[in-house]
Amino acid sequence: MSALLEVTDVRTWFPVADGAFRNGTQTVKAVDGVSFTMRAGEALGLAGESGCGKTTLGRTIVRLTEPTGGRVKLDGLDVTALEGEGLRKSRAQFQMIFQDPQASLNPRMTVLETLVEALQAHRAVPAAELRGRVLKLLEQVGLSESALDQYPHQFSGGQRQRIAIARALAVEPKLIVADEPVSALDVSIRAQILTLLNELRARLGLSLIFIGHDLAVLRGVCDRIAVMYLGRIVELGPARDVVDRPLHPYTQALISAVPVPDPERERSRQRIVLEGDPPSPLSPPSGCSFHPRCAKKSERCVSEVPPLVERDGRSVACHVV
Amino acid sequence: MTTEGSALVRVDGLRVVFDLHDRQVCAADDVSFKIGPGEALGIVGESGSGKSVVCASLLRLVPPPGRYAAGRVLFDGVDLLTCPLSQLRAVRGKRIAMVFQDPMTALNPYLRVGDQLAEALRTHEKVSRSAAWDAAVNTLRDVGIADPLARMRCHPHELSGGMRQRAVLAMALLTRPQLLIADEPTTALDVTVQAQVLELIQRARRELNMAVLLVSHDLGVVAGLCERVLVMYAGRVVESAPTTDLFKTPRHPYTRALLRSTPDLQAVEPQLVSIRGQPPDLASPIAGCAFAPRCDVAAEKCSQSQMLTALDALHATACVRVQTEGLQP
Repeated sequence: MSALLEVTDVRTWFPVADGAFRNGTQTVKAVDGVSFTMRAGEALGLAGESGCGKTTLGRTIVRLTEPTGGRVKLDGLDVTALEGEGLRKSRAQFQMIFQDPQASLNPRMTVLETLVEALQAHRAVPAAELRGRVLKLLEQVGLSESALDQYPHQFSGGQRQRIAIARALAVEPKLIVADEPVSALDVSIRAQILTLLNELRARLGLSLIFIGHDLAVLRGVCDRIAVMYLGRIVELGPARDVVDRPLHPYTQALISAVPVPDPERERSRQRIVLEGDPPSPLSPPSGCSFHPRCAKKSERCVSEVPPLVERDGRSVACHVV
Repeated sequence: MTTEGSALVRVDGLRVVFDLHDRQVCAADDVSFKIGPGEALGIVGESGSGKSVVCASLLRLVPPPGRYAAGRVLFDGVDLLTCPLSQLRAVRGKRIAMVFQDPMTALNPYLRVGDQLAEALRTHEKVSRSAAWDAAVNTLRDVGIADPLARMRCHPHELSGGMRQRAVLAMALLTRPQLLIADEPTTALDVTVQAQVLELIQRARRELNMAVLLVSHDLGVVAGLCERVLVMYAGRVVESAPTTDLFKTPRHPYTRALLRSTPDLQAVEPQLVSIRGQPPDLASPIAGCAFAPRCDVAAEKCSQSQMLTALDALHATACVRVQTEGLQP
């Protein structure tokens, strides 16, 4: 099957002022050379800790952030080359859902107004059909008609996230990038939203990029997982394989740090406790950026950046593995 | 469970009420538990379940319009809710230390980390400025901060999130407290940093024979650290049991649902189980079991008021069906 999304050597760098009273600038390489492809209907998880660039990568793919270099192709269309009206029109193809629906919904607009605005953004929908279309959207995300004239603050966190999902669906996108869509929700509500996203993906043939830090969640929802560290993908493979048998030393440490909700297994686990904090993206280490914290490093890791190499459906960027 | 005589903390029928202009919110109701010296107790629950209010009550820190409507918090025999402020101040930060979720709110942004740590020690102990400074450097080293002397001279914003939380923990441990209250101490941290901080708490506990009250929404965090767990829902304790029992044979339907909906990294078949409906609104009075509207096994008798009742010496639950019919998981 041909790829729906092709991401090739994407780089997103940000200039940062070099101290308050100096004129120089430094560069944060938030995303630094990321490539992968996605099939239609696939769910890809982007995992990693804060500052690894997963959100910036997601925003770059939907052109909410301008890439410094590289190319993003969605269904043959070069998203990175689009400008002005062409870019605006293409936005019907890809949508984004954010972590905090309280912040991404307009507090002064009712659910009806919010969804009508989204419906009309890209298509001329006859006024007579609008209400019916909005009701269908609400039904898809499991909300009732009584929600129509209510404002975001009248809903709970989980329901607000449903509204945000309905708004994303309104333009009938091919790809949805969901940035930590359940992190702000309680555990008992989380699964409701995850199940909803899964159902919608199956029913509408959507592709989903799921950005999250919780590997247990990603393992349950995604087909494949990409693990990022300091702007690069260090490991990419089928979700179960990556979590159950991680290859990259960083993935291994990351997974061993996730607590397991079972006292016996939790206490008998071998935990790889990493020393220190992730390095500053302003001055990333030479070679493999994980080498200062890696127990398996060799001399080569200090000098040479390891490329992401594929073998048997799994990709790893490590000289040692 | 500890015996009456050896309990370090005894909370008895605690009820905390917030008087808002048009309504009353009962954030914690009839909460009772004990913590023995050196024991680690976990409180789990979702947002609004009252776990943070219980923590704050232990140091009489509930902000107005909250008030303590009933109950006692006995620490070493003294009721911290009614004792004179001078007596309370001798306990706060000295014998009971507290760590919050966001270390930035616990540190003064204008002061150097070292000055804040030294001040915390000098508030409670008669030590010279330089001795306090040295003690602070040592504690920072103990919590795994590299180059502690340089960090002492930093302002909080110059440290990473994990380092800040470790500095706050160092500050809490400086006075060698008998009880550490940790309210979601790792929620804002990445998992690899979380593992570091939890290990630190565990080590400090062993070295100081310090009791820990750990509040978390993450069952995995509690599973690793605590000997006993309280599960709270809508301001009430619905189940209390030794950690292994609670995870192996949860009795209250809410505990069971919560465990099922917690994703397990090692599960053979990852599944998504949710609890239907929404948590209740605490501003409207709840008759009977607060969980009944979302419960799969709710019956008519669930509309009566529920009491936390012991099933055996260690395990207690508030589910009336488990109590009277022996309802099994």
